[in-house]
Amino acid sequence: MTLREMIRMIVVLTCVTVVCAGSLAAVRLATREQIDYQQIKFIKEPALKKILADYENDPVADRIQVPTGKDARGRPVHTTLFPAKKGGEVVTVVLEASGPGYKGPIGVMVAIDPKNDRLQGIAVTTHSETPGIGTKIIDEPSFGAQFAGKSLSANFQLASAGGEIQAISGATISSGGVSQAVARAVGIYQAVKPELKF
Amino acid sequence: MAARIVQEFTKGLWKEIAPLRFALGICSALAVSTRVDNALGLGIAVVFVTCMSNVLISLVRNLVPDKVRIAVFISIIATAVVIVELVMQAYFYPLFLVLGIWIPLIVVNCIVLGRAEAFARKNPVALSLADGLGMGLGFTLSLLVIASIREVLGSGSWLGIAVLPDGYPGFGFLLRPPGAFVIFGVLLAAMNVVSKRLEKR
Repeated sequence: MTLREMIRMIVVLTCVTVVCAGSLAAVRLATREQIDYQQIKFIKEPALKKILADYENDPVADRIQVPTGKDARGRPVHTTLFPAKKGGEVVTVVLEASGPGYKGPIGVMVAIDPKNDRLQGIAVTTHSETPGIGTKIIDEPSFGAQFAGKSLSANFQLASAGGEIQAISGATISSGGVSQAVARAVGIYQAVKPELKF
Repeated sequence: MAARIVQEFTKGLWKEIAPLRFALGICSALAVSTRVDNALGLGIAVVFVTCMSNVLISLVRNLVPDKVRIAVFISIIATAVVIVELVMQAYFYPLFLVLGIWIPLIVVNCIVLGRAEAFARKNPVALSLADGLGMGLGFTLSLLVIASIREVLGSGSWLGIAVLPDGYPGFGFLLRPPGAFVIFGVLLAAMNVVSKRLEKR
């Protein structure tokens, strides 16, 4: 093999891979927003539909990201807010937070009425609770229903800890996880509320 | 030239239809052929990849030294596949969730590299495009036939629409992997019988 051949091989292979990588980066950039939208749409929208009754916009398309503190490695953490609008006005703001459950974090979507600072409803999105026991937080609608209508200044701890939320008997830890998630979501909302412009 | 293009295109649909003649690319073909819509989705993705890789490989065929050709081919094929994956994720998300792992696996689908090696690197762009289109559509066609049989007999529907009466219990065996092999074998046998009859004429 002559030196000429070797150089030719290296040049051709380099050019081909550079062009491939470049076109992939371009396609990735062009599709990124749409992919984010699709992922949120298919994963979050079913939960959104459950807690939002009356809205006219696409809360996923109108979502806003707000910085909410930093993680352990110092990178900023963002929370996504989904505004639901009716007649051009924001009637509900939905955000997700998680609390510690029996076997892992419980993710809860919380719907907040921004005018009256009241909760409109909650829905559990992700969890790994024991089927039939911890999952009562989903299966017993009366548990989630207690949150609706509560003021944001309410004490979202369980009644056993001096709060206003009645735990499901036999599923205290899971109930506590949900109420902590709600308290966190409310905390995040109140922290970012002054910066929100709709 | 036009006759040649037509000939290269149509050979992929019957005479050299890859999965049913050479048993090429059957791994993904059998895995996603439980439903017609999934088969159609994977088929379209493969058509895009065979066309794009054939055209690009044919374009660079005189520049690429023989010793690095496989590396160049695979880079081009992998790029085409990732483009398909990203576009599918962006615009056909439910289909992307169903096809999942089978999309990246198109890279190693032997039809794609096979056409690059056997055809595109020796032929001009127009013929390579015709070959890629024909081979891709042939793959889609095989998938559609297998999926139609499996979906109709297995779950009593076609493209999600019920075609058999309500009481049809469903032939669950056909929806599982062994059922795919049985259908595939029956189709291969049928193809051979039909071809022999046609040759005798």
